[in-house]
Amino acid sequence: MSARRSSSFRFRRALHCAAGGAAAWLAAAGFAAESGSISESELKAAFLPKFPLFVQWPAGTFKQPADPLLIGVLGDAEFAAQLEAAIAGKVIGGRPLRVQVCRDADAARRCHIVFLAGDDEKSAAERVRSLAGSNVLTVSDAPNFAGVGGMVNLISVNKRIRLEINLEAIQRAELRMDPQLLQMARAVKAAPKKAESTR
Amino acid sequence: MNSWLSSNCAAHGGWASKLRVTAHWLAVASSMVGPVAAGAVVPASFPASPAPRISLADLSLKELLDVQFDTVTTASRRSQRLWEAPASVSIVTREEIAVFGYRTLADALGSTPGVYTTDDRYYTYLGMRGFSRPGDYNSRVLLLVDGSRVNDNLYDSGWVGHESPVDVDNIERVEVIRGPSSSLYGSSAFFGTVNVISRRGGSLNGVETSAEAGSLRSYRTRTAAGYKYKSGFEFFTAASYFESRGVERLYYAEFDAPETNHGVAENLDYQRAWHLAGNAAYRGFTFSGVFNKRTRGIPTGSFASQFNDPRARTVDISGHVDLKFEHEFTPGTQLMARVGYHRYDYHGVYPYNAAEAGDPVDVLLNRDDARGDWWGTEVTLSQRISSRLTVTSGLEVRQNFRQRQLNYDATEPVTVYVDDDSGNAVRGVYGQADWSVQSNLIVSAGLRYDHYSTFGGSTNPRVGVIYQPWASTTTKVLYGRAFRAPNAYETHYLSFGQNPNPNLGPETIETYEAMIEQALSPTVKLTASGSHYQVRGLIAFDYDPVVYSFQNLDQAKSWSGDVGVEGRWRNGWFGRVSYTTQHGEDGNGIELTNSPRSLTKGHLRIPLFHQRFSAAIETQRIGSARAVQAGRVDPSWVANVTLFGRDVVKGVQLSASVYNLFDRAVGSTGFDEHRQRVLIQNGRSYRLRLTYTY
Repeated sequence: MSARRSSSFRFRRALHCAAGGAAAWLAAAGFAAESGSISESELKAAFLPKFPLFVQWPAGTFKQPADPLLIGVLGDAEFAAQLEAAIAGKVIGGRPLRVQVCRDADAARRCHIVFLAGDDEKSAAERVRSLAGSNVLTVSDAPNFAGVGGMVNLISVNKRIRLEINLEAIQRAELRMDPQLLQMARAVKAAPKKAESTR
Repeated sequence: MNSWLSSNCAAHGGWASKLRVTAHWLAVASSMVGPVAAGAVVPASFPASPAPRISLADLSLKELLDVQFDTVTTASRRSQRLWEAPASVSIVTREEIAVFGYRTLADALGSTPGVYTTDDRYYTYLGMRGFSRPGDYNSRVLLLVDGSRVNDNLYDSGWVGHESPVDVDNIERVEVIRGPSSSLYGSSAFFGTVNVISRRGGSLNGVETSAEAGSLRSYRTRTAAGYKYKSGFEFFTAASYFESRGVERLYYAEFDAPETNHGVAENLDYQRAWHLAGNAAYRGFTFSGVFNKRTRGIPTGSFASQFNDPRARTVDISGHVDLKFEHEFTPGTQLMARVGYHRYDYHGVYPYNAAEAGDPVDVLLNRDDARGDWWGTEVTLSQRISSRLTVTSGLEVRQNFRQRQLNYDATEPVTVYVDDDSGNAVRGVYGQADWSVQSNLIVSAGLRYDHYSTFGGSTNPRVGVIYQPWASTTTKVLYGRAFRAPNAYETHYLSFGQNPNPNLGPETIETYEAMIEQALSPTVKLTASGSHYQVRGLIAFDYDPVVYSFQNLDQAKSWSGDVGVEGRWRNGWFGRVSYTTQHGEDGNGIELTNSPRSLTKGHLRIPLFHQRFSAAIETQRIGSARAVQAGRVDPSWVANVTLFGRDVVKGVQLSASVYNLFDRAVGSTGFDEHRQRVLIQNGRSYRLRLTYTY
């Protein structure tokens, strides 16, 4: 009984010393960060307003220097609301960001960035085709989006978002992309290859 | 469940024949810290900002790539999206714990739909979906810390109050799975599984020290330090001490007699608790350890002990060390291997009156001690076979090499009633396949086989179909089976006339659940579910003088349904309302005890001053429940309010709470070991806490 007591006491003491020592050692360290909870779609939405920092549209796309940069959402009104929250009041390079819910491809063609909702490759590919010939940066979280001709695919891998980029598609739309973004992404050719993506 | 022994003590020396002597044991879970991929939301490797909450909008694209979104890791032993989990899941975050002023893990769990707690001023017991079997010491809910089993190896107890190895302030988040998970975790994942994900250093990046004071002369201090270095090395360590005088004079009419201090238990509601925890991680390896000790006076005269004897107390000590390795071979293929050593001690001091009726009181001290030691190892491999199929499989071995139980009278002449040490080995193998038939339809099927060196094997499946007809709607239909192995206390505590029962088998449960979650807007969701549980071979004590042992005695079934609405807005507003109706009955069709007919909960968080401050209101109504001894426990209603502020002065966090604001009478059923039919809970109480981060 007493032996047991002393051994647990030693255990406690050792841990206590470790805790105290570590505390003193770290006295000069930084601030605490508080965390909340972030949903997958909230995180995806946060990516969209970042893309204008890395993309250049062809000359003449914007009539006035302060014309808004339109981010359209095709087929997912809920995501549009999520996006609205993510960009609230943001101005990039003097241009305010605006979210547009697009009813159809024609409306989407008037935007600069379009998020295409699509649960599967087929519907995503159809939507990509409907925007062919425009100067719109297409973004989606549909599986293998970059593989079927989309430009930026947001892929969920191990609780994080990864980017896949189809450079050919970007160039075809006469957009210029900062190589910095390419470094953070995985390049994908339009070959219909199976991407590692989930819905 | 009357899982303690009681016996007429005429057989024991000169004790009064009227005296019921009871001995019993308890345990505190020993725990494991070893952060499994937690739901860390802010990239841990980034310089922490002094802002109240890092906004995603303020992060660069590179930083966004490191942010983790919410997943649940408990339901399938791998991280998956909430909607894909083949179970009903609730999550409580660190943020919620702070904002709502939860004092213990029990407070945090009690906030979730369908979960309730019972406190008998001894331990805190969990109930889920209408089941909280009196005296089961939480052996039917699996408590995990970072995915590692914490229920001890004698009573299977998984504690949630101050006696818990889990310090509520070291929690990153808690995942609550309702329903069975034996198909992944084996024994005790019976009515539910609670996985506590520990805080890691990167979320602190500094030191925090807090001091708190509250009603009933309660004080607590805590210091935590944690950091994540550029090299990837990360550590977290925390120590806390809590003490509470408790209610100084507790009056129980049942003991209102001159020889028992007119029913007043003086200064016996005290508690003292130590918590130490730490973890360090580098390159896939995580080493963690936990230690806790809780001492508590016993003011209720339970187990027929001498009422108001200042020596009556219980001490629970638990500790563990755990080494874990995690590696991701390719995206979607992950390996987890762990080895851990656990230990726990329990010491109970129960004064008994040995005098004959009418003679002067002659108190002898009965001591009830237990010590359990075990080690365990497990390996889990999760593989994405194709974009449609993920398979998770694993092996687990637990060796219970000490299960010592001792009961004796410490007063001369020393008499030993129980002196037993046993051991056993548990081996489990499991697998689960999650097949995305289409992108919006998942079929999940899992199976686990456990082999016990004592009673043999148990096989438990779980099947779920998850369907999202539209992006905003998720439906799940689930079937599951679970078991709880008889524990050492039930098979080996052989004294006071109790007979051994080597034939005691596992108890089993079968469950059917259906649920729907409907997003009403990006921020508001509605959930509804219904479930039916069927329990067979419930282990209970058979008081029949011939049998007088634990038996697979009872059957039980229950139906429950719940509906809830939750809204979470970016501007800091949060609200949730949930209502659960439940009905449980035993094999004879009699309503289960300690099973409230309904649970109604409301939570509201109001942001103030640009989210630097918040006011949080929690209300709970617990419906009427059948009491264990006789009659019913009246419905009760409480409201708790917490004002919380960060950076009141730079680096200073302030929290002020009032619990049971309207000082409502709240009752909890007395169990068989109590003379009290109903145990009254504390009235209004306060807590003030200051935390300084540097």
